[in-house]
Amino acid sequence: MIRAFRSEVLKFRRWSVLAGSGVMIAATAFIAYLTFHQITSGATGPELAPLIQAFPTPQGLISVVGQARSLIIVIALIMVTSNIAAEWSQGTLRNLLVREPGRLRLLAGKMLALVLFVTISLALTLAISAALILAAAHAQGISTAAWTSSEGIRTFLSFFGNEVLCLVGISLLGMLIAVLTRSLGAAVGVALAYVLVPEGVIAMVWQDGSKWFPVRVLNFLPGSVFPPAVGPTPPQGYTTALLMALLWMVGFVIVSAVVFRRQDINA
Amino acid sequence: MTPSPDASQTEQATSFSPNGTLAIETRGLSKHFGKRKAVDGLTISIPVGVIAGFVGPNGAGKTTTIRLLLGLLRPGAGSATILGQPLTRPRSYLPRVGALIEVPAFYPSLSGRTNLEVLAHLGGHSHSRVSQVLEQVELSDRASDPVRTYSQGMKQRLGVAIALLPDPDLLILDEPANGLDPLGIIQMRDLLRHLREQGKTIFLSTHLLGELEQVTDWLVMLNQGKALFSGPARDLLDQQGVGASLEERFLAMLKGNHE
Repeated sequence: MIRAFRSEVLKFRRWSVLAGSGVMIAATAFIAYLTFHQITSGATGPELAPLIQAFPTPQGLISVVGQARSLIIVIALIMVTSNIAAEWSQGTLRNLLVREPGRLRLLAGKMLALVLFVTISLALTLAISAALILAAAHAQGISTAAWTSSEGIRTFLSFFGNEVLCLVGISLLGMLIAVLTRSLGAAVGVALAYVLVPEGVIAMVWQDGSKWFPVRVLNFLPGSVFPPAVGPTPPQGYTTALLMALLWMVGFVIVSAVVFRRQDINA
Repeated sequence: MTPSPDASQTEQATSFSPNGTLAIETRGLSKHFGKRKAVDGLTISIPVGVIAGFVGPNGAGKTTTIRLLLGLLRPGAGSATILGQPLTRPRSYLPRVGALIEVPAFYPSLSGRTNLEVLAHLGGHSHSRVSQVLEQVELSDRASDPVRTYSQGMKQRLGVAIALLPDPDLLILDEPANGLDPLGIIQMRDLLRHLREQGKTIFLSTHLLGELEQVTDWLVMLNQGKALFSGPARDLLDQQGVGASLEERFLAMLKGNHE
């Protein structure tokens, strides 16, 4: 598995992989700054009210930086799904499996590297966005004492930890979609369609049931760190949401492993 | 008691091998895709240390057979041993096998060297081995360039380098001369002969029958998933009479099979 991990790390030099990370950083920083600008410029509105309320508190920084959370989830999902599915589309999977016939070892090593890459991308994204907002606040003479207090830092780290957990789950969902579709175009299409249709549209009309959908459950984890009005806080409670998220993750791993191990490789 | 055709084929192959062992042996190997029989009860034996030509018309089942031998496809029926190890345990033989399957596949934005390093890390091969195989296929001077800038012939040579990476005992090559210019084909022929001299077995699928005739010791002829012939190349050519080319013999056998 370590050999598969090291092999995968070499592939991160590709511009397409680095571009995913770049888009995550740039989009999050932009949305965070836009939110900061709206709050500090005196804009009002029902959507901004909870953010304005949270702004001077220790949760103020993550409330601003975390506005791009849904986008981070979508980018991470596409990064992982496209990376794995491309091995089928490019035909490179057959090279990999001839050199590492242990399919589960290959998949595990690959996923370990991808999750590490997504985590590093997230850490950079949050660090750059937070630094940008802190710098902007200092430039405008806005106090950041609450954000940099011990409680503020603890909140930020808690947000980071839960966001990492969320992205691990999202990465495993991406793996499952790639293993089932075995094609770059189909995998990205299915991943986007899944986030938009069942998790987006159906959730709007069936809120009670949709709270158990995987992407929503995973999103509840970092959401629980925000003030309830900013959310999304888990309606089923944090512990239940965490257990459900872990169950989804185990399910993704089991189905992916069973399918990939028995799959014919025609790529 | 008269030996079965399978047993006599195995016997012939073992006697042909310098050390009396087989590189590949399949018995009734089958693979169906839906109702289509891609490989249908295939029984062949390939001795160790030979260049074995694997020929057949398009759709005969050559690539499917190669994928079965490499553990990429699961057989529907039958069995096989590769380098003495059962097909069901690819981990026991694939570290000693190198393969080029159909059109070689790469990460186009990575350099030729990095493409090889990805597989070297995976297979546990040394950094120096990457340089050696690049040298062997004469790609050292372009090794740092992205593969997307390579010509078809260079990609083909990089594909051969990937196959050579584990210093394999068995080399499975599917159309290795695709896209090569005449000089490249001559170099490929020399490389194959050199590898055979080192005692390696080469299982070579190609449509270039004239080229194959110059290097092959053993032949497997496939049609509609079944072996029409599996044995010494000389035996097949002699069946047609002295001076018959492989191409003539191939066409005659196919015609006979269809009739």
